Amino acid sequence: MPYVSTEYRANFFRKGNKSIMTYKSIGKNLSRVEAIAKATGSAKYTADLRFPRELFARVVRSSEPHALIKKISCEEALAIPGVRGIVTGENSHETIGVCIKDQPPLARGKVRFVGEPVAAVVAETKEIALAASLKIKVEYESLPAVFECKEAMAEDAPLIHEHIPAIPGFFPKQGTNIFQHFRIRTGDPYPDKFEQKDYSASAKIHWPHLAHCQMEPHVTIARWANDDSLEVYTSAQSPFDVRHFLCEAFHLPMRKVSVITYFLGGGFGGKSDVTIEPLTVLVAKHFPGEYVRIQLDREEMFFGTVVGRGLDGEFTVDFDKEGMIHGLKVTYLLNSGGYAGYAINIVQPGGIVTSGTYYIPYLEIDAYGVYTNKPPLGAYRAYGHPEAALLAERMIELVAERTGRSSSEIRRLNLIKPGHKNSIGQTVREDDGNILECMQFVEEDMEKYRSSHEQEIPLTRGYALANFLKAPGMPTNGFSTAIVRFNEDTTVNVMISATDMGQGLLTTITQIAAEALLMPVHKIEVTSIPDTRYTPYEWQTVASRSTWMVGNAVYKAAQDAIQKIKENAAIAMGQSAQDMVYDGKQVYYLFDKEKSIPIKNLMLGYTFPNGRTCGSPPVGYGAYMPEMEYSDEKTGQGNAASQWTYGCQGVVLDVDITSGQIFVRMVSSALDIGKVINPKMAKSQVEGAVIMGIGGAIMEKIQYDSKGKIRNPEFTDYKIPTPEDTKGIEMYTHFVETFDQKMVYGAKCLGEHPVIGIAPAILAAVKDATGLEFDALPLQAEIVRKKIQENYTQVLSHIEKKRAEYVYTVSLLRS
Amino acid sequence: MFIPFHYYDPKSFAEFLEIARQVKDYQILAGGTDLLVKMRGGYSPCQHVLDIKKIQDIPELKKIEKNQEGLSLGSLVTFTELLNYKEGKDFFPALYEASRVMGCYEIRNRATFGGNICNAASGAEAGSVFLIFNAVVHILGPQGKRSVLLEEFYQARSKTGKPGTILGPEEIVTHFFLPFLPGKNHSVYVRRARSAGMDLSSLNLSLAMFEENGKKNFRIAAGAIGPIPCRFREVEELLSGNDLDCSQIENAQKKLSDLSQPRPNSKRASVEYKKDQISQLLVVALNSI
Repeated sequence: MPYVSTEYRANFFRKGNKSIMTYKSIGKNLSRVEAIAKATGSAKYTADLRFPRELFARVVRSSEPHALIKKISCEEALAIPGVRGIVTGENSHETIGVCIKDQPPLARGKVRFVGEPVAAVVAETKEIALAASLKIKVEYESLPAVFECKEAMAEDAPLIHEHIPAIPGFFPKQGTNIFQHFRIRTGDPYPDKFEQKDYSASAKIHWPHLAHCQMEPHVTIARWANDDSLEVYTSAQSPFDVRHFLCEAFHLPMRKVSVITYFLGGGFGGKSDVTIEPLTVLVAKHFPGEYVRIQLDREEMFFGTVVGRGLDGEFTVDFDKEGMIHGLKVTYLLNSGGYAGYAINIVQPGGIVTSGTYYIPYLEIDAYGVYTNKPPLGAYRAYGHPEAALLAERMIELVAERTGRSSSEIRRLNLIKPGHKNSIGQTVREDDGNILECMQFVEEDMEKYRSSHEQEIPLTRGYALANFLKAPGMPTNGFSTAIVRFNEDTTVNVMISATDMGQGLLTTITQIAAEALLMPVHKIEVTSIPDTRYTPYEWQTVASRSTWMVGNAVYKAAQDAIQKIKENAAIAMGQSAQDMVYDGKQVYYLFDKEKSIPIKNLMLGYTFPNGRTCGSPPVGYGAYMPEMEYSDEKTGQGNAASQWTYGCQGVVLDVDITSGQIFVRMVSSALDIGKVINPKMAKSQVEGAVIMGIGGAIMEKIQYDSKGKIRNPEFTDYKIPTPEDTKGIEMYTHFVETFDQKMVYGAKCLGEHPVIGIAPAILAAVKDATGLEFDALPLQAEIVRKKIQENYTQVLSHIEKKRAEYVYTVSLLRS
Repeated sequence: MFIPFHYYDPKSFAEFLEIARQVKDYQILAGGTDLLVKMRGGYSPCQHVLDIKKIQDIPELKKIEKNQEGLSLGSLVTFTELLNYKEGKDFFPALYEASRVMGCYEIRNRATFGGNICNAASGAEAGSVFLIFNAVVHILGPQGKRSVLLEEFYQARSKTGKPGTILGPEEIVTHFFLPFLPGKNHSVYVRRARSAGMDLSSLNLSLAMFEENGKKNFRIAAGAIGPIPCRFREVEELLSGNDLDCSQIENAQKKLSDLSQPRPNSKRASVEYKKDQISQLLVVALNSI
């Protein structure tokens, strides 16, 4: 294949760390290619699909957090006209889960959280299914339940799973509720570590469960044909992974299984891996030949899929009087709910980045995934990283406080630099990113704000920033692939199986394909309606990896297709293909430019004047997977992170000490995302993430009652930021463009990242404003007010001191 | 998702009475922004829904009218319609402020004052505001018309699930009357919510001040700090008189805090926070008049 290695190409096109290449399509603000379809409502989503004689299934869910199922009485429900049947987990044997197979699609004998599917009523209309579902009586025998990690890890804690099925690369502790223990051990332990150094400090932090709140509820429609083939239409980020797990659970040959997705109305990780597909497929199995639909209500979105975050972390940091950090010990517990199939993968990336963007010689990190009787935890934008950043940035603030230096000095002193070994033993490279430049952007924005905005009473203002880094979490063989096909009129169809869920992938891929094919963007059509029988493989659309990985795959596929065109031309000219030059319009002979053929004449092979046709229609295939390996069980070392994005975010906020309300005034984000493919879209991606980050830090919390039932599974009481909340926030976004050698055009990952720094920055800014330290999120008004009341005089003197400092600084800045 | 129900849209009051008599167990539908949410959530199972929006022979239902004494507000008037009726704004600033922050655009376009009051939610925006204007509720039933003060219209919910109003079977609220405040006056509505966008108030407070014979008088009502929106006359008395001094305000804050009886276990705010914040809201309100 004529494909030039990305490393080679990257070196060719850059000078220092900046790209010197001028691009035609990349770096431009191409409008969303699907904008008109979405704005006019013609864009198709899974819920828009209609099938003949569709059946509707309504899920009956557990009312108990931990119990044995004694009896399920269905007679009354079955008697309702229009009810076609009721499916329970009895006699089923399928088990699902991504890296740990512990979850039956319908509970078998035991339930492990409130909301777990116990039965499904299948009826001719959704109203009948709902009415019938209310008539089903389930008798339980309650078992002791645990809801918090610490309780679940206690020695006498009730066992939620008797046996934990494990696969290589994961380390469960049988006979406990710990299904994964990931550890990092680096550096030489020094004598009496964490005691002999000049200083040490500890802190802990709790982050409750959050909900993804995608605009589009989950929906799956499944049909078993009578020839054992299976059709599944689903709102998933991961059609190929869904196929993988369905085939494994239902023992099907992959060639017979079609998993199809349309546009997604938001994913945020909550539609990754598998969610309601196995349940729908299991139910549909009882109605061969018929389409069975499960479409979740908004309420069910909270307990019927997966929840996010759920961290209990604590750390001890060891440093000297200059503020140089020598050692860090972290315990990181993930409250993963009743099933670990999805959560298990979040444990590791979270563990990897708890040392943040800092070089710490000695690391002792223990990340645990813990079963509890809450709904299962899954991927949620940035996959463990915001949790870890919360710990790492808290560490910096603490060291600054204890050494009397500014946190900005402490950050610089301890910053990880090229040549250092990071927490998993990778040597940090220049092209991993430039965190220092990111920090400078944010610091400048904050200084500008400080000198130009007055403060008001009774508000007190806080400033803080947070650094972060993230690598995509994925298996070592999680390929992206693409097909590029030229049509007779020289337009191009690009086929990928990564999904567009609002992040704008179709647009960035259009730009990348146009660049690679030397063509204008209007000649490129990127289609993504993945159908696992026809479209190229894609592991999942997750981990912020798609612009980078699918982009690389599309580039390779484009080169492959161009090669086919050159071969056609070579036949026509009677020359060798390697002497052909393609320029997007024609192919000419390297040594004689006059000899050329328009590519239009090479689209169905080449036809000689006498009608004889040679060559082939140009279709290219490309695949990409960076080199990775498993982590070592004892030390966590290994090449398990494939690409890094660094960033820094700063927040300016006011706290109203009379109400505890927090008003975010300014957010500055600077990220090193390599070459920016589409600046406008990148910026809006950052702004969306910032708003989501603010929600998770000061508003959002899934409330549980004493029996583990969610009290606020709706938007009346699960509050997320609205335009009213965010319209007053000044937002600044900067991109540093360190050319990444692992991507042909130098781009890095971006999608999840700008959510990471917000919570740590807000936590530190509230500390700056009030002098108070909080060890739990979200910082809802009530929590903040309570702490202010408890420490009223302390807060007032802190504010007085700050005001004096403020007046002094402003006078300096203005002089 | 909804469990199927019967829907009726009587065109006259007589027809309404006839259907109501027949089906007995029914819910009245005005804007529906509370009822439909409750039905969908399964909190208000009901077989029969009577939509009163099509009733033609009660003109008061949809009318907003200002006369010499005050403002007459039909029970089917939506929050948006009131906000567009600029003539009342100078006389009832608290009412307009409450209407402005209630729900979101879509809800305000749909939700009615009748529904807001008859739903008898403790934190209802119109509740505490109407109370400071001594609003009168006009009721029409099989026996004819009657009218009561809003304070008497509200009834604390009992554990048996008794409705929060005195509205009897086959009765509807036709309109409200809000008399002008006497003399030089001002009124404010303040609340705490978890979001600057659409949210129910975690707690709210309405305050009216008017001067009579050179004396300042106050009316204070609050929502979501007791089972129903409620007037606080003891606090009013503490404030009334001449210019306020700090200790007077502090006493009033403390009194208000002591008198409030928030429901424990609220998803919106704890008892402690509500008791604390209601006294803060009093200061915010006093500062803004």
